[in-house]
Amino acid sequence: MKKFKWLGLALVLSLLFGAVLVLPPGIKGAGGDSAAVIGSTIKDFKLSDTSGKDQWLSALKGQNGTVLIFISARCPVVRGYNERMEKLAEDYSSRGVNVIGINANSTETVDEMKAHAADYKLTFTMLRDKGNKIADMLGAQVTPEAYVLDANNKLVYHGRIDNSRTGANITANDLRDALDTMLSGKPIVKSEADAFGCSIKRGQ
Amino acid sequence: MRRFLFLALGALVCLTVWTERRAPNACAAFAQQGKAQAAEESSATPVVRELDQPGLKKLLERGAGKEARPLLVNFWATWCEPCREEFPDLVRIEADYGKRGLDVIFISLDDPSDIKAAVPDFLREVHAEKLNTYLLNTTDPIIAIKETDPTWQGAVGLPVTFLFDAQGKIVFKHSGRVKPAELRAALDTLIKK
Repeated sequence: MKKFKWLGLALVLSLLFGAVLVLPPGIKGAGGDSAAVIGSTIKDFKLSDTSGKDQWLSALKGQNGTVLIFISARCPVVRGYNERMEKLAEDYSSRGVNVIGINANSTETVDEMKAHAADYKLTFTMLRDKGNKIADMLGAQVTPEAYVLDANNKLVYHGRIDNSRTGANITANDLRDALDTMLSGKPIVKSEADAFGCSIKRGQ
Repeated sequence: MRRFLFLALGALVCLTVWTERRAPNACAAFAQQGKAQAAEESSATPVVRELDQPGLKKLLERGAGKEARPLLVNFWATWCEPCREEFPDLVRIEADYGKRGLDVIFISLDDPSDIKAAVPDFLREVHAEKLNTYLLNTTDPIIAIKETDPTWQGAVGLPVTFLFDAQGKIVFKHSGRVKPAELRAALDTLIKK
Protein backbone atom coordinates (compact mmCIF):
# COMPACT_ATOMS: atom_id res chain seq x y z
CA MET A 1 0.00 0.00 0.00
CA LYS A 2 2.86 2.32 1.02
CA LYS A 3 4.59 1.47 -2.25
CA PHE A 4 1.49 2.60 -4.19
CA LYS A 5 1.45 5.87 -2.29
CA TRP A 6 5.01 6.60 -3.36
CA LEU A 7 4.27 5.55 -6.91
CA GLY A 8 1.24 7.89 -6.97
CA LEU A 9 3.30 10.78 -5.62
CA ALA A 10 6.03 10.11 -8.19
CA LEU A 11 3.43 10.07 -10.96
CA VAL A 12 1.90 13.40 -9.87
CA LEU A 13 5.33 15.02 -9.56
CA SER A 14 6.46 13.72 -12.93
CA LEU A 15 3.28 15.05 -14.57
CA LEU A 16 3.78 18.47 -13.01
CA PHE A 17 7.47 18.52 -13.98
CA GLY A 18 6.60 17.32 -17.47
CA ALA A 19 4.07 20.13 -17.90
CA VAL A 20 6.71 22.69 -16.98
CA LEU A 21 9.09 21.22 -19.54
CA VAL A 22 6.47 21.08 -22.29
CA LEU A 23 5.65 24.79 -22.04
CA PRO A 24 8.04 26.66 -24.35
CA PRO A 25 10.33 29.00 -22.44
CA GLY A 26 9.69 32.69 -22.91
CA ILE A 27 6.12 32.23 -24.02
CA LYS A 28 4.09 34.05 -21.44
CA GLY A 29 1.52 36.70 -20.83
CA ALA A 30 -0.41 35.89 -23.96
CA GLY A 31 -4.07 35.17 -24.12
CA GLY A 32 -5.06 34.52 -20.56
CA ASP A 33 -7.91 32.40 -19.33
CA SER A 34 -10.95 33.94 -17.80
CA ALA A 35 -11.06 33.50 -14.05
CA ALA A 36 -14.79 32.89 -14.29
CA VAL A 37 -15.60 30.03 -16.63
CA ILE A 38 -18.67 29.77 -18.80
CA GLY A 39 -21.41 28.07 -16.82
CA SER A 40 -20.24 29.30 -13.46
CA THR A 41 -22.55 31.39 -11.27
CA ILE A 42 -21.35 34.89 -10.48
CA LYS A 43 -21.84 35.76 -6.84
CA ASP A 44 -23.56 38.97 -5.90
CA PHE A 45 -21.17 41.90 -5.51
CA LYS A 46 -21.34 45.58 -4.78
CA LEU A 47 -19.50 48.48 -6.39
CA SER A 48 -19.99 52.21 -6.10
CA ASP A 49 -21.61 54.18 -8.92
CA THR A 50 -20.37 57.54 -10.19
CA SER A 51 -22.17 59.35 -7.36
CA GLY A 52 -20.37 57.21 -4.80
CA LYS A 53 -23.42 55.17 -3.86
CA ASP A 54 -23.01 51.42 -3.35
CA GLN A 55 -24.86 49.32 -5.89
CA TRP A 56 -25.45 45.58 -5.69
CA LEU A 57 -25.53 43.39 -8.77
CA SER A 58 -28.70 41.79 -7.40
CA ALA A 59 -30.40 45.19 -7.45
CA LEU A 60 -29.17 46.20 -10.92
CA LYS A 61 -29.59 42.90 -12.76
CA GLY A 62 -32.24 42.50 -15.40
CA GLN A 63 -35.14 40.14 -14.98
CA ASN A 64 -33.90 38.01 -17.88
CA GLY A 65 -30.21 38.71 -17.75
CA THR A 66 -27.39 41.19 -17.32
CA VAL A 67 -24.54 42.41 -19.50
CA LEU A 68 -21.40 43.59 -17.70
CA ILE A 69 -19.07 45.56 -19.99
CA PHE A 70 -15.65 46.65 -18.84
CA ILE A 71 -15.14 50.13 -20.19
CA SER A 72 -12.74 53.03 -20.06
CA ALA A 73 -13.18 56.78 -20.35
CA ARG A 74 -9.88 57.13 -22.22
CA CYS A 75 -9.64 54.12 -24.50
CA PRO A 76 -10.22 54.93 -28.19
CA VAL A 77 -11.46 51.41 -28.82
CA VAL A 78 -14.21 51.92 -26.21
CA ARG A 79 -14.95 55.32 -27.76
CA GLY A 80 -15.59 53.53 -31.05
CA TYR A 81 -18.18 51.36 -29.28
CA ASN A 82 -19.98 54.04 -27.23
CA GLU A 83 -22.89 54.40 -29.59
CA ARG A 84 -23.28 50.65 -30.01
CA MET A 85 -23.19 50.06 -26.24
CA GLU A 86 -25.90 52.65 -25.65
CA LYS A 87 -28.02 51.17 -28.43
CA LEU A 88 -27.53 47.71 -26.93
CA ALA A 89 -28.72 48.97 -23.52
CA GLU A 90 -31.76 50.59 -25.13
CA ASP A 91 -32.64 47.58 -27.28
CA TYR A 92 -32.43 44.98 -24.53
CA SER A 93 -33.83 46.84 -21.52
CA SER A 94 -37.34 46.25 -22.90
CA ARG A 95 -36.47 42.56 -23.12
CA GLY A 96 -35.48 42.35 -19.46
CA VAL A 97 -31.72 42.60 -19.88
CA ASN A 98 -29.79 45.38 -18.16
CA VAL A 99 -26.41 46.69 -19.30
CA ILE A 100 -23.89 47.77 -16.66
CA GLY A 101 -20.60 49.46 -17.46
CA ILE A 102 -17.67 48.76 -15.14
CA ASN A 103 -14.56 50.91 -15.07
CA ALA A 104 -11.65 49.07 -13.42
CA ASN A 105 -8.86 51.38 -14.59
CA SER A 106 -6.89 52.67 -11.62
CA THR A 107 -5.65 55.56 -13.76
CA GLU A 108 -9.13 56.98 -14.38
CA THR A 109 -11.18 59.16 -12.04
CA VAL A 110 -14.89 59.26 -11.29
CA ASP A 111 -15.01 62.72 -12.88
CA GLU A 112 -13.63 61.25 -16.10
CA MET A 113 -16.27 58.53 -15.96
CA LYS A 114 -19.00 61.14 -15.53
CA ALA A 115 -17.63 63.26 -18.37
CA HIS A 116 -17.37 60.20 -20.62
CA ALA A 117 -21.03 59.31 -19.96
CA ALA A 118 -22.16 62.91 -20.47
CA ASP A 119 -20.10 63.51 -23.63
CA TYR A 120 -21.36 60.39 -25.34
CA LYS A 121 -24.87 60.42 -23.82
CA LEU A 122 -24.43 57.04 -22.16
CA THR A 123 -27.41 56.36 -19.92
CA PHE A 124 -26.68 52.85 -18.64
CA THR A 125 -25.35 52.43 -15.09
CA MET A 126 -21.61 52.79 -14.63
CA LEU A 127 -19.76 51.34 -11.69
CA ARG A 128 -16.28 51.96 -10.38
CA ASP A 129 -14.27 48.79 -9.73
CA LYS A 130 -11.73 50.22 -7.31
CA GLY A 131 -8.88 47.78 -6.78
CA ASN A 132 -10.16 45.85 -9.83
CA LYS A 133 -11.71 43.16 -7.64
CA ILE A 134 -14.50 42.35 -10.07
CA ALA A 135 -12.15 42.51 -13.07
CA ASP A 136 -9.91 40.01 -11.27
CA MET A 137 -12.83 37.82 -10.25
CA LEU A 138 -14.09 37.65 -13.85
CA GLY A 139 -10.64 37.70 -15.46
CA ALA A 140 -11.30 40.81 -17.56
CA GLN A 141 -8.20 41.99 -19.43
CA VAL A 142 -9.24 44.72 -21.84
CA THR A 143 -11.85 47.37 -22.56
CA PRO A 144 -14.38 46.81 -23.98
CA GLU A 145 -14.89 43.25 -22.79
CA ALA A 146 -18.37 41.88 -22.11
CA TYR A 147 -19.83 39.26 -19.79
CA VAL A 148 -23.41 38.02 -20.14
CA LEU A 149 -25.20 36.60 -17.12
CA ASP A 150 -28.52 34.84 -17.43
CA ALA A 151 -31.48 35.43 -15.10
CA ASN A 152 -29.76 33.29 -12.44
CA ASN A 153 -26.39 35.06 -12.80
CA LYS A 154 -24.89 32.14 -14.65
CA LEU A 155 -22.13 33.25 -17.04
CA VAL A 156 -23.26 32.37 -20.55
CA TYR A 157 -21.05 34.56 -22.77
CA HIS A 158 -17.70 36.29 -22.46
CA GLY A 159 -15.80 38.35 -25.00
CA ARG A 160 -16.12 41.04 -27.61
CA ILE A 161 -19.17 43.07 -28.52
CA ASP A 162 -18.68 42.46 -32.24
CA ASN A 163 -15.82 42.21 -34.71
CA SER A 164 -15.50 45.83 -35.80
CA ARG A 165 -13.69 48.59 -33.95
CA THR A 166 -15.32 51.24 -36.06
CA GLY A 167 -18.79 49.82 -36.55
CA ALA A 168 -18.15 49.34 -40.26
CA ASN A 169 -18.37 45.92 -41.89
CA ILE A 170 -19.61 44.04 -38.84
CA THR A 171 -19.77 40.38 -39.79
CA ALA A 172 -19.97 38.87 -36.29
CA ASN A 173 -22.41 40.34 -33.78
CA ASP A 174 -21.26 38.01 -31.03
CA LEU A 175 -22.76 39.78 -28.01
CA ARG A 176 -26.19 40.40 -29.57
CA ASP A 177 -26.26 36.85 -30.95
CA ALA A 178 -25.51 35.48 -27.48
CA LEU A 179 -28.25 37.63 -25.91
CA ASP A 180 -30.82 36.67 -28.54
CA THR A 181 -30.00 32.98 -28.13
CA MET A 182 -30.17 33.25 -24.33
CA LEU A 183 -33.52 35.01 -24.50
CA SER A 184 -34.87 32.36 -26.86
CA GLY A 185 -34.00 29.75 -24.25
CA LYS A 186 -31.58 27.90 -26.50
CA PRO A 187 -27.98 27.07 -25.55
CA ILE A 188 -25.40 29.55 -26.78
CA VAL A 189 -23.10 27.91 -29.30
CA LYS A 190 -20.43 30.60 -29.41
CA SER A 191 -20.06 31.42 -25.74
CA GLU A 192 -16.61 33.02 -26.06
CA ALA A 193 -15.08 35.41 -28.60
CA ASP A 194 -11.73 37.06 -27.97
CA ALA A 195 -11.97 40.77 -27.25
CA PHE A 196 -9.60 43.46 -28.51
CA GLY A 197 -9.03 46.74 -26.74
CA CYS A 198 -7.03 48.70 -24.22
CA SER A 199 -5.45 46.77 -21.36
CA ILE A 200 -7.15 47.37 -18.02
CA LYS A 201 -4.76 49.44 -15.91
CA ARG A 202 -4.82 47.52 -12.67
CA GLY A 203 -3.86 49.06 -9.34
CA GLN A 204 -5.17 49.80 -5.87
CA MET B 1 27.72 60.55 -37.29
CA ARG B 2 27.76 63.33 -39.90
CA ARG B 3 26.49 65.76 -37.31
CA PHE B 4 29.15 64.66 -34.83
CA LEU B 5 31.93 65.17 -37.40
CA PHE B 6 30.48 68.54 -38.30
CA LEU B 7 30.31 69.67 -34.70
CA ALA B 8 33.80 68.31 -33.96
CA LEU B 9 35.15 70.21 -36.97
CA GLY B 10 33.29 73.31 -35.78
CA ALA B 11 34.76 72.99 -32.31
CA LEU B 12 38.24 72.60 -33.78
CA VAL B 13 37.86 75.68 -35.95
CA CYS B 14 36.44 77.61 -32.98
CA LEU B 15 39.43 76.64 -30.90
CA THR B 16 41.79 77.82 -33.67
CA VAL B 17 39.85 81.04 -34.11
CA TRP B 18 39.82 81.68 -30.38
CA THR B 19 43.55 80.99 -30.17
CA GLU B 20 44.31 83.35 -33.03
CA ARG B 21 41.75 85.90 -31.66
CA ARG B 22 40.13 86.37 -35.02
CA ALA B 23 36.46 86.42 -36.12
CA PRO B 24 34.70 85.96 -32.70
CA ASN B 25 31.38 85.27 -34.40
CA ALA B 26 32.64 82.19 -36.23
CA CYS B 27 31.66 79.84 -33.34
CA ALA B 28 28.14 81.22 -33.21
CA ALA B 29 27.84 80.67 -36.96
CA PHE B 30 28.91 77.04 -36.55
CA ALA B 31 26.48 76.54 -33.70
CA GLN B 32 23.66 77.95 -35.83
CA GLN B 33 24.56 75.72 -38.74
CA GLY B 34 24.76 72.69 -36.43
CA LYS B 35 21.32 73.45 -35.04
CA ALA B 36 19.89 73.85 -38.52
CA GLN B 37 21.33 70.50 -39.58
CA ALA B 38 20.02 68.80 -36.43
CA ALA B 39 16.60 70.27 -37.08
CA GLU B 40 16.75 69.02 -40.66
CA GLU B 41 17.71 65.51 -39.50
CA SER B 42 15.03 65.33 -36.79
CA SER B 43 12.36 66.48 -39.21
CA ALA B 44 13.04 63.53 -41.49
CA THR B 45 9.61 62.09 -42.16
CA PRO B 46 9.26 58.51 -40.96
CA VAL B 47 7.82 56.20 -43.57
CA VAL B 48 4.75 54.35 -42.36
CA ARG B 49 3.38 51.91 -44.90
CA GLU B 50 -0.26 50.91 -44.91
CA LEU B 51 -0.94 47.21 -44.69
CA ASP B 52 -4.05 45.13 -45.20
CA GLN B 53 -4.77 41.62 -43.92
CA PRO B 54 -3.33 39.77 -46.98
CA GLY B 55 -0.35 42.13 -46.81
CA LEU B 56 0.27 41.14 -43.20
CA LYS B 57 0.11 37.47 -44.12
CA LYS B 58 2.67 38.03 -46.86
CA LEU B 59 4.88 40.02 -44.53
CA LEU B 60 4.90 37.22 -41.99
CA GLU B 61 5.74 34.51 -44.53
CA ARG B 62 9.30 33.60 -43.88
CA GLY B 63 11.64 31.85 -46.26
CA ALA B 64 13.34 28.92 -44.57
CA GLY B 65 16.52 29.03 -46.62
CA LYS B 66 19.96 30.24 -45.67
CA GLU B 67 18.85 33.83 -46.03
CA ALA B 68 16.07 33.53 -43.44
CA ARG B 69 16.51 35.67 -40.36
CA PRO B 70 14.80 35.79 -36.98
CA LEU B 71 11.90 38.24 -36.86
CA LEU B 72 10.54 40.42 -34.07
CA VAL B 73 6.98 41.69 -34.56
CA ASN B 74 5.46 44.31 -32.30
CA PHE B 75 1.78 45.32 -32.46
CA TRP B 76 1.23 48.75 -30.94
CA ALA B 77 -0.74 51.99 -31.19
CA THR B 78 -0.06 55.61 -30.34
CA TRP B 79 -3.12 55.66 -28.05
CA CYS B 80 -1.77 52.76 -26.00
CA GLU B 81 0.18 54.02 -22.98
CA PRO B 82 2.22 50.84 -22.33
CA CYS B 83 3.09 50.78 -26.06
CA ARG B 84 4.47 54.31 -25.85
CA GLU B 85 6.44 53.42 -22.73
CA GLU B 86 7.79 50.25 -24.31
CA PHE B 87 8.77 51.73 -27.66
CA PRO B 88 12.18 53.23 -26.68
CA ASP B 89 13.24 49.81 -25.28
CA LEU B 90 12.40 48.20 -28.61
CA VAL B 91 14.22 50.94 -30.52
CA ARG B 92 17.37 50.09 -28.52
CA ILE B 93 16.84 46.36 -29.05
CA GLU B 94 16.46 46.94 -32.80
CA ALA B 95 19.70 48.93 -32.81
CA ASP B 96 21.57 46.22 -30.90
CA TYR B 97 20.24 43.10 -32.63
CA GLY B 98 19.49 44.41 -36.10
CA LYS B 99 23.18 44.32 -36.91
CA ARG B 100 23.34 40.77 -35.53
CA GLY B 101 20.78 39.46 -38.01
CA LEU B 102 17.39 40.31 -36.52
CA ASP B 103 14.55 41.73 -38.61
CA VAL B 104 12.13 43.94 -36.68
CA ILE B 105 8.73 45.15 -37.82
CA PHE B 106 6.38 47.43 -35.96
CA ILE B 107 2.69 47.15 -36.79
CA SER B 108 0.54 50.04 -35.66
CA LEU B 109 -3.14 49.43 -35.01
CA ASP B 110 -3.96 53.10 -35.04
CA ASP B 111 -6.79 54.47 -37.10
CA PRO B 112 -5.77 54.67 -40.79
CA SER B 113 -6.30 58.45 -40.62
CA ASP B 114 -3.33 58.60 -38.23
CA ILE B 115 -0.85 57.37 -40.86
CA LYS B 116 0.17 60.89 -41.86
CA ALA B 117 0.25 62.57 -38.43
CA ALA B 118 -0.06 60.74 -35.10
CA VAL B 119 2.06 57.71 -36.04
CA PRO B 120 4.97 59.52 -37.77
CA ASP B 121 4.89 62.24 -35.10
CA PHE B 122 5.34 59.65 -32.39
CA LEU B 123 8.12 57.87 -34.31
CA ARG B 124 9.93 61.17 -34.66
CA GLU B 125 9.46 61.86 -30.95
CA VAL B 126 11.17 58.59 -29.99
CA HIS B 127 13.85 58.90 -32.71
CA ALA B 128 12.51 55.89 -34.56
CA GLU B 129 12.24 57.47 -38.00
CA LYS B 130 14.08 54.67 -39.77
CA LEU B 131 12.26 51.71 -38.29
CA ASN B 132 10.28 49.29 -40.39
CA THR B 133 6.81 50.52 -39.53
CA TYR B 134 3.41 49.60 -40.92
CA LEU B 135 -0.13 50.61 -40.12
CA LEU B 136 -2.58 47.76 -40.35
CA ASN B 137 -5.87 48.88 -41.81
CA THR B 138 -8.33 46.52 -40.17
CA THR B 139 -11.55 46.75 -38.23
CA ASP B 140 -10.84 43.40 -36.55
CA PRO B 141 -7.35 43.27 -35.01
CA ILE B 142 -8.04 39.82 -33.51
CA ILE B 143 -7.66 38.34 -37.01
CA ALA B 144 -4.24 39.96 -37.30
CA ILE B 145 -3.10 38.54 -33.98
CA LYS B 146 -4.37 35.08 -34.93
CA GLU B 147 -2.69 35.40 -38.33
CA THR B 148 0.55 36.01 -36.48
CA ASP B 149 -0.07 33.30 -33.89
CA PRO B 150 -2.77 30.74 -34.79
CA THR B 151 -2.58 29.32 -31.26
CA TRP B 152 -3.55 32.64 -29.66
CA GLN B 153 -6.43 32.44 -27.19
CA GLY B 154 -7.98 35.16 -25.09
CA ALA B 155 -8.37 38.90 -25.11
CA VAL B 156 -5.84 41.09 -26.86
CA GLY B 157 -4.59 44.22 -25.15
CA LEU B 158 -1.72 46.08 -26.75
CA PRO B 159 1.24 45.92 -26.97
CA VAL B 160 1.81 42.38 -28.16
CA THR B 161 5.26 41.17 -29.16
CA PHE B 162 6.27 38.00 -31.00
CA LEU B 163 9.74 36.67 -31.71
CA PHE B 164 10.10 34.14 -34.52
CA ASP B 165 13.19 32.09 -35.18
CA ALA B 166 14.56 31.89 -38.72
CA GLN B 167 12.30 28.92 -39.44
CA GLY B 168 9.19 30.90 -38.51
CA LYS B 169 8.54 29.27 -35.13
CA ILE B 170 7.45 31.52 -32.28
CA VAL B 171 10.06 31.34 -29.52
CA PHE B 172 8.85 34.26 -27.38
CA LYS B 173 5.60 36.14 -27.07
CA HIS B 174 4.36 38.70 -24.65
CA SER B 175 1.15 40.65 -24.14
CA GLY B 176 1.70 43.94 -22.31
CA ARG B 177 4.89 45.95 -21.91
CA VAL B 178 7.79 43.63 -22.52
CA LYS B 179 10.61 43.35 -20.00
CA PRO B 180 13.72 44.20 -22.05
CA ALA B 181 15.91 41.74 -20.10
CA GLU B 182 13.53 38.87 -20.90
CA LEU B 183 13.39 39.73 -24.59
CA ARG B 184 17.15 40.19 -24.78
CA ALA B 185 17.64 36.79 -23.10
CA ALA B 186 15.39 35.20 -25.75
CA LEU B 187 17.29 37.02 -28.49
CA ASP B 188 20.67 35.97 -27.08
CA THR B 189 19.53 32.36 -27.11
CA LEU B 190 18.38 32.75 -30.70
CA ILE B 191 21.22 34.81 -32.08
CA LYS B 192 24.59 33.59 -30.99
CA LYS B 193 27.33 36.19 -30.77
